[in-house]
Amino acid sequence: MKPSAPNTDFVSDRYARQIRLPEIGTAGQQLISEGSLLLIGCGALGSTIANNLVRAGVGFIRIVDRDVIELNNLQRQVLFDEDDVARGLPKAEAAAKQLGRINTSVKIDARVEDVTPRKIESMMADVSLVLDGTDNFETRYVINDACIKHDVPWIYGGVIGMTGMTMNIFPGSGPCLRCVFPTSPPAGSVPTCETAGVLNTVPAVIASIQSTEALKILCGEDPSLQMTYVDMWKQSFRQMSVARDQECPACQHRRFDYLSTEETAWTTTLCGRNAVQITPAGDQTIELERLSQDLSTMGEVSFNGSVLRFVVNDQEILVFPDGRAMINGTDDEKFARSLYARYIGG
Amino acid sequence: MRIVVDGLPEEVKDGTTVLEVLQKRSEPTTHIIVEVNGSFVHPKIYGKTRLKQDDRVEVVYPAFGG
Repeated sequence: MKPSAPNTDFVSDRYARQIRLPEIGTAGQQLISEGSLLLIGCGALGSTIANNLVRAGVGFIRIVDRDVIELNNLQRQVLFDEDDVARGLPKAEAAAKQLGRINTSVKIDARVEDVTPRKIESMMADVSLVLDGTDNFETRYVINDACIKHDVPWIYGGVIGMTGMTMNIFPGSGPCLRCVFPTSPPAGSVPTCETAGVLNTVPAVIASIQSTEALKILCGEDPSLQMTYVDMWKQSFRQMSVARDQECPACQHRRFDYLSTEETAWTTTLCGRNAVQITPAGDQTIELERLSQDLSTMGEVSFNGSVLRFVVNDQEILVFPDGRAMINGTDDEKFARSLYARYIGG
Repeated sequence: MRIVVDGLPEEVKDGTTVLEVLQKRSEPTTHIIVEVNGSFVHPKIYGKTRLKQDDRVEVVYPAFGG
């Protein structure tokens, strides 16, 4: 027997506390229920964003994530539990199941996929807003290019250690990611949550700001175009004004380098070798000595002056000075890319 | 002249640029966020942005994890 649709009284009671808010009201709740969002990444940021927005009653959310749940995720990724780890479930799939228990009136499209330049434009074709829950720079540039190209707003969020930051990016109205960071950092040059750690309250706060901004945008409010920076340990909360770069290749010259495969890291499955090779975009030089120090607390590391060998959870990763990496013991490209983002960065 | 960097006073020569402050402190000069008196400074003008007495400079390491 099909479940009956929730009646109006039930719906208004569910959202009574936010309808009571003059900033939202009945009209705002209606707009929220008509909203369609794409959430890219369902880790610490993404699971909190999804939890907030599904409970708030956003009409449709597409969740895309390439990872499976691991034990170390449970410290901060609020939708998952030990049973999910034991079953090795993909994050998007487990999230959809949990979110479905929270609010059956929200339509969720969960996809266990990598967001690539080739796929992103179709993934966002039927949404009006994109939320960033990713853990790597490369995907954020792809999101930025696709959103600028198609005039779709997106909300950047990032966390590391005790700090996090977020900014609304509205094509045509304010700066974009490339106005702030014109080029992507070389692989291994910036810390990841795996190498630097992250306090679990940081993504909770940043994701909550992102969720609030999403609700404001759906309700037709003018979004903030400032960058917000939070240091949770120091209890510091700052906003800064960022001006558009008049020479920005993306939002000024509409050159979308990261949507072209030539400019984006590419992945190759090495047939018959149970290995995946990942080659980052552009010319890069990676400081392998420093990377070996960063990785030494997380697994077995050896560096012979030319190639870094890193073994973690029975997975062997070979890293070369040009940023290229060979992930041995798997032929799963999505899994290999997630290992690369986690341990090498980029 | 005296400026304030990350909340601490620092003596620098007149006309010092943002780039010179970063280099003096051995900070990276790319993929960071530099704020002067609350306003973001574009990376391409670090070398052209001259500081004044009592300017407040903040160097922020951006967050890229998720």
